[in-house]
Amino acid sequence: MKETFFRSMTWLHTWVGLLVCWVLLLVFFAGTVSYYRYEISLWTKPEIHSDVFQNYQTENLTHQLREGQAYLSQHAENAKDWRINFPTERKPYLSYSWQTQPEAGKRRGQFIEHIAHVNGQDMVTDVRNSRGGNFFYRLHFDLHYMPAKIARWIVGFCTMFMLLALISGIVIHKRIFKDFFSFRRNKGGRSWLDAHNISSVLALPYHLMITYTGLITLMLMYMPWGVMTAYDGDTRAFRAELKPGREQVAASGTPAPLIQLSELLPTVKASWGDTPIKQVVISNINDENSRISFYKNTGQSVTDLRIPLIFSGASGELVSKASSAPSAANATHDTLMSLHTARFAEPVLRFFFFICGFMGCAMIATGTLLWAVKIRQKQQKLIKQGNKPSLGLRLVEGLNLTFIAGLPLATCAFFYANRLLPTQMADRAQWEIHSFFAVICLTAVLAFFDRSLTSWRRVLGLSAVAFMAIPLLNWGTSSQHLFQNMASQQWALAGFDILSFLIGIALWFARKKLAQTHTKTSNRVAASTAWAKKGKRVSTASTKEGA
Amino acid sequence: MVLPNLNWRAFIRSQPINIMSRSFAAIFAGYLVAATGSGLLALIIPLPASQSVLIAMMLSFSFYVAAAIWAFSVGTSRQAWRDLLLISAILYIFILWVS
Repeated sequence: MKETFFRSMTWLHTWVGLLVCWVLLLVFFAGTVSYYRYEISLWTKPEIHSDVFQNYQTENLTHQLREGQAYLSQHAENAKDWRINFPTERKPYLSYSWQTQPEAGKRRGQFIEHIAHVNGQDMVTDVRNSRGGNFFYRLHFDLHYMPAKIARWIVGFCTMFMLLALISGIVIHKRIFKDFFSFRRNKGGRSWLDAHNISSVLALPYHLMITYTGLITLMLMYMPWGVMTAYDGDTRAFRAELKPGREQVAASGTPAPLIQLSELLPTVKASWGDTPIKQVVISNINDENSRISFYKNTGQSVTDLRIPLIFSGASGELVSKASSAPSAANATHDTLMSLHTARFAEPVLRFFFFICGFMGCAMIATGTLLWAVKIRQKQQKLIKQGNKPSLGLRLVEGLNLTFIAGLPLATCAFFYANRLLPTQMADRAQWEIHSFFAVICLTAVLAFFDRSLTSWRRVLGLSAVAFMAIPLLNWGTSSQHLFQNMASQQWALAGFDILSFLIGIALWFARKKLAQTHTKTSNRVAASTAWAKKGKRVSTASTKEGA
Repeated sequence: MVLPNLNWRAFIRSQPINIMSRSFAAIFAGYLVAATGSGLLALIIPLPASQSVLIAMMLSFSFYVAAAIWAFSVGTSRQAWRDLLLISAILYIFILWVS
């Protein structure tokens, strides 16, 4: 019984892993990149790189609120809502934004954001149209070129498979501690297996956490059955009970002038003390039912709950206040959600999340590379006799090249498009995204014709050079270059350039490594066949089932 | 499609069909187990409704994983289907009974 259980788990691991690994890689990659969502968004808007960044200052609040209200009533009188966004650690600028009235048949209007200069005199209004870090954030669960609902089901399905692959992977990993400390270099398949083990085991708690919490972020869509039984399927009632005070109030149609926002500050201060305010949202402007919501900057506390103080915009009366302590279930849910999004993470912890995310990408990539290497070994005799490799192997190798080597290059293409496309171009933001996917498609075409190591070297080399040149690109297309950013301590912008450069170097090493492997192929094949002969290891069994 | 032989029994017992059947059992019957399990939990946890629903939803994915592993660990794929469908049927009866 024990042996069969073991064997069936090996199967399960190979199959669920192989079936969804490329979508998973895309999702994991996009998720990892979105840890720096706001930083990327800053970098993709060079218009605001100089004279805009400022810190939150309590003593300026009254003035900024007044200015904001005056500015918005002048420029956005008929908007659906207004937002006044105060500087935070990761979005260090003051901005006034609004949503236009949605066109007929649409739920949302267009979002427009004007950003204040430090001097407080004029506004930056011509920021280029770009999705910035939000592209990667959305790509992480909405994919692209398809309805969000379908995409979320696909992503949920793949995530579930990932959870299964993780758990069955732990089961089949008999010698988890011994293997943990062994890495055999240049041993072909054995090295890939070791790399797969290390990247999986080293960050295993992270992988399990991120997969399970990922499912939980969209659980109301995937598993609504509790709502079905306990609320007879009334999702609205459930949401209202879960988060009181979030219901939208409809406009009454009776006009009523909006009070001065700054008059509310003493009441806000009475509840929150000196906690920084992140955002003020005004809806149903100049209506009897208008609402003013203050959101605090939750900063580095572990929470994703946005609990506002809501005032009536006509009378200034406090309408809704957060309950002091959330229930145990709510707190658990909130913690799990924020573990996934890592909103609380300060720079060092954020970097660790980022590294763990990359380990996840490495785990997926080495897993599928391992499969391809093993199957190629198995078919070696046939291939030497002049037969073609099997369709499955060709497909896996092609997709590996497309996604593993193509994703970094595509990301680079996105950043280059952001800086090089003409700023007034129609659908500009969309074309940045098109260039991301165009590069993936081009890599796929290359992979269709040539899946050899030469192709890998070319793609990796190109993305290495492209990444290393990102500081140069920024120097040429922004008012602030890397050293100026370092001097003025703009670490979000400087960090982007530095990290890109380091990633470029890493990719260059990967390319160089492949070049060496190419010349040593004969040694490697000898070594790996010797290894394959060493009797029935766990992993050999897995490829047998996998084939 | 050319079958190696026309022995249907052998075909059904063959490896690809076996894996496919188990996978479908894990995906669909496993989902049924998770869905009925979380539906039942949402009713029986003695807390305010919104909280017990939240807990039931958060736990449902572990039921799903357990069911999928079950589907691959039992002797035959038929047993996988039978067990999972039976469990979800029992859970469903409990839901009807409790509500």
